[in-house]
This record gives sequence, C-alpha cells and structure tokens, in this order.
Amino acid sequence: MEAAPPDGPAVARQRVLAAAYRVEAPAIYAFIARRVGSAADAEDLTAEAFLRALRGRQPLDPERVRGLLFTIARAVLAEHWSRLYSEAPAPLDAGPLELTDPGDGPPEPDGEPAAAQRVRTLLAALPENYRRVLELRFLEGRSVRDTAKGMGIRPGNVRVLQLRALRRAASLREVLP
Amino acid sequence: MTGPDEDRALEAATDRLLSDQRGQPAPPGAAGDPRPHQLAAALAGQRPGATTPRPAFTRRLHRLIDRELGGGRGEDPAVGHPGRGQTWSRRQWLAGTGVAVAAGVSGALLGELLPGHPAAPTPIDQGPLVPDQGRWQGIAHVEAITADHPVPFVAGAIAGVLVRERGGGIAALSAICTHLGCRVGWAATERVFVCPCHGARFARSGAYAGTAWPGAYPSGLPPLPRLRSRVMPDGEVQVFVV
Repeated sequence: MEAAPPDGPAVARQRVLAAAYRVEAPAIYAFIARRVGSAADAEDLTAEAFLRALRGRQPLDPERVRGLLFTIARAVLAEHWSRLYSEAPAPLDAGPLELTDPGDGPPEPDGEPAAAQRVRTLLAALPENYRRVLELRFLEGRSVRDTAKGMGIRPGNVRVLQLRALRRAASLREVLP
Repeated sequence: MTGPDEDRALEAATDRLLSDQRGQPAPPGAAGDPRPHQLAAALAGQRPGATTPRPAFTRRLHRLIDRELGGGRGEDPAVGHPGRGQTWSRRQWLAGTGVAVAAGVSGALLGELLPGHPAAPTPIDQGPLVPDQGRWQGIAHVEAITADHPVPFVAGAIAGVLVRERGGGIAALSAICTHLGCRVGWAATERVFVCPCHGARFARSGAYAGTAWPGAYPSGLPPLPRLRSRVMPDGEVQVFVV
C-alpha cells in the first residue's frame, strides 16, 4: 500500500480556495445577506458555504472558483429555507426577484443593482399603506411604535398591515416581470 | 388561506429578522408558505450596510478557514499587532517570500499565489547576494507576459512580477505588499494583485486599488515599487536584481 501523494487534488483545491477567499468572501456574503436579511444568518451561511467548498475533493480550476462558490451559496440558501419551512418550495432565488447571477463576470461594486430594482418595482406595485409599512419596517428598520407614529395608526394595526403587505407582496412577486 | 398560527409564525419570523437573530424553524403545523418571510428577508437585505460583513465576522471567517486548512494556529494576522504575542513577527512579514515557510502549512497555503497563475514563481538561480552591486537577470520572454498573465519571479533578494502595462509595455513591479510585506498574487477574474494577508489590491500599474474589506486602509497604501527592467533584442525581459 502506498502513501497518499503529499499534494493530492484536495490539497490543490484548498490552495486555490485559500488564495481566492479574501477576494470572493465579500461578494458571497453580500449575495447571501441580500437573501436572508439578517447578519446572524448571513454569517452562518457564508461560513458554511466556504467550509463546504474547502471540504470538497474534486480538483478545482482557479478560473471557476467564483462560479463554484456561488453555486454552493445557492445550495446553502435553499437548505436554509428548507430547514425553516420543512417543505419550502423554490427559495426566493428562483422567482422573479432573482437577482442576477454574477457568474464569472467582474463583481459589481455596488452589489446587484437588479436586486434593489426588483424591490423598488415590487414596492411600487403595492397599495400606498402596504408600501409604506414595508419601507418603514424593513428598509428603514423602524420599530413598530415609530412606524405607527409615522403612519398615524395604532401599533396593533402596524402588525396587521405588515403581515398583509408581506403576503400581498409575496403574491405579486409571482406576476411581476 | 392563512390561519392565525401562520400569522403568528410569520410575525415571529419577521421580528427575529429585524432584531438580527437567527431564523428558526416554524412550529409544527404553522410552517405554511415561506415566501412572505423570504420577501421580508429580501427587503431587510436592502437596508444600508446589510451586505457589508461585520469586521468581527471577517476575522472569524479567516480563523475558520485557516483551521480548516490545517494551520491550527487560529490566529488571524489581520487582528494582531506585530511584536505583541503575534505568531508571525514583522521581520517575517518583511521577509516576503520567507513568509510562507515561516508560517507553516496554513501560511504556506494562504501565501500561495492567487488563481489564474500557471504555476508557482519561476525559481531563478540566486547567485551571491551583493547589496551594492546588482546585475541584470533574465526572467522571461516578452511574449510570455500578457495583460491576463503577469509573470512572477524570485531573483536574488527580490520577489517581483512582470506585467504587461495598459500601453503594451513591460514593467517589473515588486510583488511585496506595501502594507506589511506579504507577497501579492494575481486574481485572474478581477485582474488585480491581491495581498493574501489583509486583502489589499493593486492594479497592474502597481497603484493601490482598494480592498475587498471596506475601511481596511482609510488612507490607502503606497503603490508596489517599480523595479528596473529592460527588454533585450531577442525578447528576453531582464530585471536589475541585487
């Protein structure tokens, strides 16, 4: 029985990833954060994606690192949603909100402008009070109390409105271009 | 139709999201449709700063990857201060090419050249080191140096890289990052040199070109120094080395 070669494909793959990770990590983090919304989840899933990439055993062409990392990130995201909703259908990713696949192209310095555009389109298609509650609560991160004050309604109504707005927006997502 | 359980589950999910807690599985029977939650996440993901990793996380990720690569030091050179319990001394950083050896396995991995490079740097017969009296050393044929493929080399005490400049000319740059002396590598996809230690980037001209980690170098970094080089009539590119 021969000893394993000291520099097998797994080690070569690790070298490729070790060299690439600082360049790719911010884009992978941003890609995930845009889809899970919270830093806590984005951090867990980003780490998970890199560990999974490092533990692979196939040889890896340096030119394909970025594509591989995004593929893994998408899989990790899909599993995340399946964990939360045992029979989650396609993650947001697969619908019209799907934001451009960065592929092998150069990363966009401002992230995926398409993502922001989709969100704006979606919000613009909602009734005014739905749009406003989502803007205040999610885009601006205001508290229920602040939102109620800003909209001139009772806090309890903010919660109801927020739920309805999210459900309506989720259903619109299917029909918007 | 959605029931009150689903409403409560969605409300709890959005509360966790907005207070930056981890998502949790919905209670049995209340899982329902994930899309409103996914939509809330996509909205929250558009908050200013939502896509910028926290510095503590970038350090944690570095340690995690370092451990996974077998280093086991668990020490992030980005967070320490040279000379204060640091595994790698400043002297070792400044040694440039010696860094990988000094740092052991994981350092060797992290110190490797970045993707896109055909191979490790071409080792050149080093000859005697005479500080005051350099010599011209042949490195590569001019046609081997393209805009997409700079050619790294180690000659004498110098770790450098030959680049094809925008105008088509050839230049020799030091490959030692002007921050702490790690050796930069070429990132083929982005066409920049990247320092494996703290992520500084340099354009083909040698100019500092930002960093993947926002805020790392608020006042920028000096460019990669230029080395004396010349192209011989037969196409050999030579660098003046000491």
